Amino acid sequence: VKRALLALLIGASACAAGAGHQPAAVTPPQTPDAPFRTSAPEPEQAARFVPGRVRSLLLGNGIHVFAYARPGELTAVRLSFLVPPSTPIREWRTALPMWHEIVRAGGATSLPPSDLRRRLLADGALIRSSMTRPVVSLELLGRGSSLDDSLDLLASIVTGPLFEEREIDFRKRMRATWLADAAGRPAWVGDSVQHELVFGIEHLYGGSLGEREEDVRAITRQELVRSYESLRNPATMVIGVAGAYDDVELRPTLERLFGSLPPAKERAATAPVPQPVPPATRRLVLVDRPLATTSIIRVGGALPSVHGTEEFAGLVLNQVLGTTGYGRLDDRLDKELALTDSVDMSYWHDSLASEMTIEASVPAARTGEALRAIQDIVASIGRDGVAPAELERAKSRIVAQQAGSFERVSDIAWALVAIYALGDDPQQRIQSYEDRIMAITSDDVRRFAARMLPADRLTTVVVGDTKALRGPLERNGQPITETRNAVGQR
Amino acid sequence: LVCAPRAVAARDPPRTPFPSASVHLPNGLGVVVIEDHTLPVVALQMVYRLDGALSTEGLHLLAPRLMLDSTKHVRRGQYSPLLAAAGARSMSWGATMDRTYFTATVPSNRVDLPLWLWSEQMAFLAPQIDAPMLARAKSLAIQDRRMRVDDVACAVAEAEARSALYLDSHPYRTAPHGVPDSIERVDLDEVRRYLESVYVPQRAAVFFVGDITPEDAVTRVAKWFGDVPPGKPVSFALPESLPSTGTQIVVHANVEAPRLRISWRIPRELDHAFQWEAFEQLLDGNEVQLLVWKFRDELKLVSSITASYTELKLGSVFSIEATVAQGKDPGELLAKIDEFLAKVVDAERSRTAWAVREVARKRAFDRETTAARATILAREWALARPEEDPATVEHFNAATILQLVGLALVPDHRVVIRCDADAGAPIAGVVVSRTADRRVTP
Repeated sequence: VKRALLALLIGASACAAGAGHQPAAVTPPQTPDAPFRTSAPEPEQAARFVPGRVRSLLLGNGIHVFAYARPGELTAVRLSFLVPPSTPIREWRTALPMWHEIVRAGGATSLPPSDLRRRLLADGALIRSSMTRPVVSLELLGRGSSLDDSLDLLASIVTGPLFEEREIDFRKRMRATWLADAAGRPAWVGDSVQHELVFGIEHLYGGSLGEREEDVRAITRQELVRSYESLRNPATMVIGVAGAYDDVELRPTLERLFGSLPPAKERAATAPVPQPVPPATRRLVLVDRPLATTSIIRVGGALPSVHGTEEFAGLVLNQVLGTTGYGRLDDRLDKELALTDSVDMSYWHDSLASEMTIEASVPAARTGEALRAIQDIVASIGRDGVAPAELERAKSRIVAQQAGSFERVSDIAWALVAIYALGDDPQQRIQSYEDRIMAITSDDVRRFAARMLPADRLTTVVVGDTKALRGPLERNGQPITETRNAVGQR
Repeated sequence: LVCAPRAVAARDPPRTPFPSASVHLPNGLGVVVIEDHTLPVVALQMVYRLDGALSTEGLHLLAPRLMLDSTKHVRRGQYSPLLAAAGARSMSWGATMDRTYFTATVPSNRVDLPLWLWSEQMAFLAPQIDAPMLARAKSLAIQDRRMRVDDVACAVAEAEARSALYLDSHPYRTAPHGVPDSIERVDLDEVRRYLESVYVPQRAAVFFVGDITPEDAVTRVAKWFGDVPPGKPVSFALPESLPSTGTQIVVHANVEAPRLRISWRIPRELDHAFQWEAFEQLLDGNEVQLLVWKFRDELKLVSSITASYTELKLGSVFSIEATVAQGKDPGELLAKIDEFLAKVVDAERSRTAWAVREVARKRAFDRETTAARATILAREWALARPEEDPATVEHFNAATILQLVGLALVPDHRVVIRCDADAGAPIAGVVVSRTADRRVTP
C-alpha cells in the first residue's frame, strides 16, 4: 500500500507542477471554480450489494436456528426468547427486564470477576442481554470462528442460572436507579405518556409509567425464576448466528448445547392482550414542565401488528416524513417555518403491535404553530398520498441503505431473530426486501398513513410549560384534553 | 489520478492499533484511510481542528450551521437530502471545543458526494453568506441553546466550572456553553473572517474507512480539495497554567432539590484517557455504580449521582454531579465524597482491575463498524493523542489508577459548584457568589 501510495504521490506531484498550481495569494485567496463542481456527483457504477444466503436449521427439540455467514473477525450468537402476548403486565414490566440481566451474569454477581467472567475474558468474548419489546435475548459476541468455549458458557448459564440473592438485590438496585433517572427525563416521560394513550394502560406496551420502585423491591426470586423457566422453552426460543462461524460445526455444536433442552410446562392461559384502538377524536395531553422555553411535541398512533404490503408501506412513509435534515417534516418545520432543527420519526412494528411517532422540539412560543404544521402534513399524506418523485426518493434511499445494515454481526443476528418473531422467513425476506420496497405505491402509503395517523384522531403529547402553553394552544384550535404533572401522572 | 495535485509525505501520522495510510495534500489537508472491503460501504469524516480558535460569541457553534445551510453550488437545505437520497447512514455533525466534524457512511459508489459537499463548505461558503442566511443560523443556534442550556437545571455550572478551571487566556475559559445573546450583534464580515481563518485545509483532515483504496481516496480528495488555498498554518501554544487554589461557586436555580458539582482539571501529564475512563466505569458504569451504592443507597445523601470524564485537547476534566437528597446538607456530601475518593481505588482493587478490562474490551468491540473506526481515527487526530494501544493497557491496574486519582483529584485543581433551589431563579441558574476554596490539599 505504501509503495503504491508513494508512486501516486510522485506522479501527482509532477502533474500539479505542470498544471501551474498557484501558491497562496494575499487576502483572502479563493478556490477557482470548476465545471465539475456545479452539480452533485452522480454514482459512478451501479450499487453492488447482494445479500448472502440465510441458512435455516431446526434442532431436535424444535428450536429454530438462522445463520448468516460473513467474513470478518467477529461472530454473534443470539439466543432469543419470544414473549407470549398473554404475559401478565407485572411480569412484563418488572420481572423480564431484570431476569435477563441476572441470567446473563451467570449467577455470579458482576463483581468481583467470577470464574465465568475470567473464562470469557480469556476468550476475548462478551455476553450481553437485552429486551426489545416482545423478544428477550442473550447474545454472545466472540472473536474467530471457533466459539466452542464461549458457547459452552452461554449454554451453561442458559441451562442452569443460579439466581443468587445477591445478584437479584444488585439488579433491583440497578432497576430502581434506572426508574428514578427515567422519571426525571422529559423525553422519557413524554414517550411513556404517549404509549399509555395509544396502547392503553393494560397493554404490555402501555404501562411504563405504572412501574414503581416498590414493585421492583417486592419482586421475589421465585417470580423471577418462574418467569425465566416458562420462556426457556424450545417452543419460544430462536437462535440467530452471524459472522465468521464454522459452517460445518454449527449444527453439531448447537445441537449438543441447546438441542436437549426439554420443553417447559405450558403457560397458564391468561386474558388476551388488549389491542390498540385509535381514539374516537383527537387527543392532546400536556405534561407540565414549568418554565420550559422549549416544548417536546409527540404525535402518533398505533395499530395491531401490520404485515405484508402495509408493513413495507410503513417503512416508506417513515422515509417520506423523514428526520432532521430531510423529508416532509424537516422541509416544513425547519426550512420553511424555521420552527426547529430537530425533528424525528420512529416506526416500530413487531408481532404484537405497530406504532408510528413524530417527535419535534420547538420554541415554547411556537408550539401551536408547529403542531398545526405536523397535523397538516399527516392529513395531506393520508388524503393525497405522495408525489412520484418523492416516493421514488424514499424507496431508493431505503434500498441504498441496506448494505450498511449488514455491518455489525450483532445487528444481523438480531434481524434474523426479529424477522422470525414477526412470523416471516428470514431468507425470503432478506432476498426479497428490495423488490417489496420498490413495489410500494403512493396509494399504499396513503392508505397506511390514513390508518396509522388518522388526521382527525391523532394522539398528541406536549411536554412543556402548561401555564404558558394552554392559552395559545386553545386559541390555535388545539383543545387540551388532559394535563399531567412532570412525571406523567394525572 | 493524473491531475491530482502534489501531496507530500506523511506528517505526524496517528498511531493507531489498526493499519491506516496517512498523507497530506500540499495545501495541508490530511487524508487518512483504512481499507476494509467486507461490504460496499465507506465511512467518511471531515474534521477541522480548532486548536483554541474559540470565540466568546460562539462563532465555532454558528459555523457548522452556516456550512449546512447552503454554499455556492449547493442550494439551501440540500445537504442532508442529497446524502439521504444516496443512501447515507450515520450522517451527523458536531461542534465541540476542540473540533468541528461532519460524518456520513455511503455506498462505495457515492464517495464523491460527501467530498463535494464538504469541499463546498470549505471553499465556497464565506463569500456566499448573506444577511438572511446569517439570521437563520443565529436563530437555530439560539434555539439550540434554549433547549440544551436554558431548559437544563443548573446548566450555568458548565461554563462556570470552566472559568474557574482554565486560567488567564486559556481558550476554554471564556468559550460559551451554547451561543450567547451577543451572537445577534455579530456581523457578516466578522463571520467571514472567522470562517476563512479557521475552516481551512491546514486545520483539516478527511478520514475514510471501508471499501476504498488509499490511492483512490487521495485522488478523490485531491480532485475536490486540491485547489483550496491552505490558510494560515496553525501555531498554537498550549496554555499550561492550572488553578493553584480551588474555587467555590454558589448558583441559584429553579430546581426542586439542591445540586452539587465538583470538577477537577486534570494536569496534562496525568491525562491518560483510558485510565480515567476506567475510573469513571468504576464509579458510574453499567455494571458497577459505586457512587450510587455509597451515596444514595448507603448514606442516603443524594437522590442521584454521576461521574464523568471529559477528554479535551487543552486540558481534560473529571466531574461528579449529584442531586442532594431532601433535607441533606451539600457540605456534608462534599466532605463524604472527598473521604470516599481518597480510599475508593485502594478499597476496590479487584473491581478496578475489572473496570480496566471492561474498557479495553468495550473499545475492542466498538471498532466493528466503519463509522466507529473513522470516529476513532478522527478523534485521535483532532486531540493529537493516539488511543492507548491494547498492549499498553495491560500495564494499567488499580495501582496506576490510584496514583492518578491521588495526584489529580485534589482541592487545588477543582471547582465546587453548589446549585441551590430558588423558585425565582431561571432553570439554568444564576451565579450568586464565587469564592476561593482554601481547603488544604490532603
